[in-house]
Amino acid sequence: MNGTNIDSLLRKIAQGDNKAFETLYIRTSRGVYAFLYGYFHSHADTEDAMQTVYLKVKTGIGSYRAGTNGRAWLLQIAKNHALNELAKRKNTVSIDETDIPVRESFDEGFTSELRKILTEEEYQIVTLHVLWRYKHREIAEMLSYPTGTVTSKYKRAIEKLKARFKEE
Amino acid sequence: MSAWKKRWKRDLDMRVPDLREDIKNASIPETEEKLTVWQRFCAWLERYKRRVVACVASGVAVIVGLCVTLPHLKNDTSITPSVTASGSVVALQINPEVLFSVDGDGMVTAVASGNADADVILSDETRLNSMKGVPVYEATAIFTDYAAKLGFLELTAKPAVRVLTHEGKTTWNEEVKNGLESYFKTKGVYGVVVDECLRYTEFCEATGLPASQKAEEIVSGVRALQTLYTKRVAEDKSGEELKTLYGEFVAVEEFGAILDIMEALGMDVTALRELLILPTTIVEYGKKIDAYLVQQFADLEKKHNKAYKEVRAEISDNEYAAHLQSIVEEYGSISAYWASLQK
Repeated sequence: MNGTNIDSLLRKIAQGDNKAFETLYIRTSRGVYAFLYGYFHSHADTEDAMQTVYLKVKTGIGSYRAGTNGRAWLLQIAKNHALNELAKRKNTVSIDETDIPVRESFDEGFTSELRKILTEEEYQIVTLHVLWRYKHREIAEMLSYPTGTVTSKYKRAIEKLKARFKEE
Repeated sequence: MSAWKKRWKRDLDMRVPDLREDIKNASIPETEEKLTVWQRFCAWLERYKRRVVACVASGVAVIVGLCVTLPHLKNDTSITPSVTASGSVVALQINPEVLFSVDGDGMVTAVASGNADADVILSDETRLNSMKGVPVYEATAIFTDYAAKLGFLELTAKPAVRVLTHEGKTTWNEEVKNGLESYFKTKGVYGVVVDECLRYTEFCEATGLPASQKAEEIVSGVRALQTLYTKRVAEDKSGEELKTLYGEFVAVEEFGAILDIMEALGMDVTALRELLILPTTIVEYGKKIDAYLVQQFADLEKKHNKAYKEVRAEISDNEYAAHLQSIVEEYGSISAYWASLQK
């Protein structure tokens, strides 16, 4: 999933191409799902959120500026939706994201296990790098960290995963 | 790719829900052009400024280099242009057969049917585009899944697929093989992957491509191909030849019999009966083939839906290894097993 491909699909969607929208879903749904799961920790909530996020992509396509960063635009919609949903649960407006409660997860499966092993930041960095193919430098800009911090967090995450899943 | 990354992607593929029909069908609001040309240029420049700077610096370096070296090369006939193979072609044979043109990073840039059966899968733009711009090991798994959905791959038997790559700087057979084996294990199917890396001429012969000794020619050849086999072979054909071709692909008699059954069941087949009339022009041929392929996909999907949707337990690495071992013991090799299935 590189930015150019997503930008090209979003431009087509903006011109009314519904097939491009379906292609966008096929290409990006895995990455969006993993991204949202980092916020919800629940497959049920993530599945619901997926439908809403892509509906917002379609209905809000007018706000996308062609030639800019399609990946970032899509992820911003997903992030905003996740934070709004979690804030509704708390029923207060919270600026600090770490205050927002997350439902305890009884989920099984690899994604859930991954999320439990890694910290929130590590999971987010691994998702952006592995699934969205962002470079460490780009992730650092997105998360307002130094590049070295992203690299070391990523390395620590990989070590944890290798140790847990006993890779050579 | 690391095992945990594969497991993660497999888990995500299982979890990701289908897009709801109401969202699929929701209309897209009309949008106005938001940016002026200058604003779009600025946005493009901002996004790609590093590459632009790198390109300008490279260009200056090239010009300086040429100014220094060209005077010395004027009468030197021993210099030949360098040829670099930046891409390759991967062929997947199930039946159906399909060709993937792949760039230097292993990303699919073009897809073309290797035979008429592949047209049923590749005839739809959404399906076709889902296999472009993705790593070749993903694209081959997507295609194989469609083949399973349409009954080309018998999930209850012990199916085999063959992956062919050609010699060159980079071959992707290892990644593709691992991707397909992961697919089979996840689906609970005792499928087998034969992978062969062939010399250029052998590869062209095995895939039906024009003979060539150069990777660039093979790659550009596939990129230039008309995607659908049934349309590719119809190019430059006369009216009578088109009728013959169409009759071979559509199997008019059998299709007519199917339409009779559908009509007896109360379905309106008026539009489909048009497909029984043989085309005489290339335009007519193209339209009828398109309509026939849509019908074929729907028929095959419906027919094999139950078998495809059946839940099978995932196969462990040990179980899969034991299965491969039993194949080798019985047939001598995986390739021999593939050959036995082609008879």
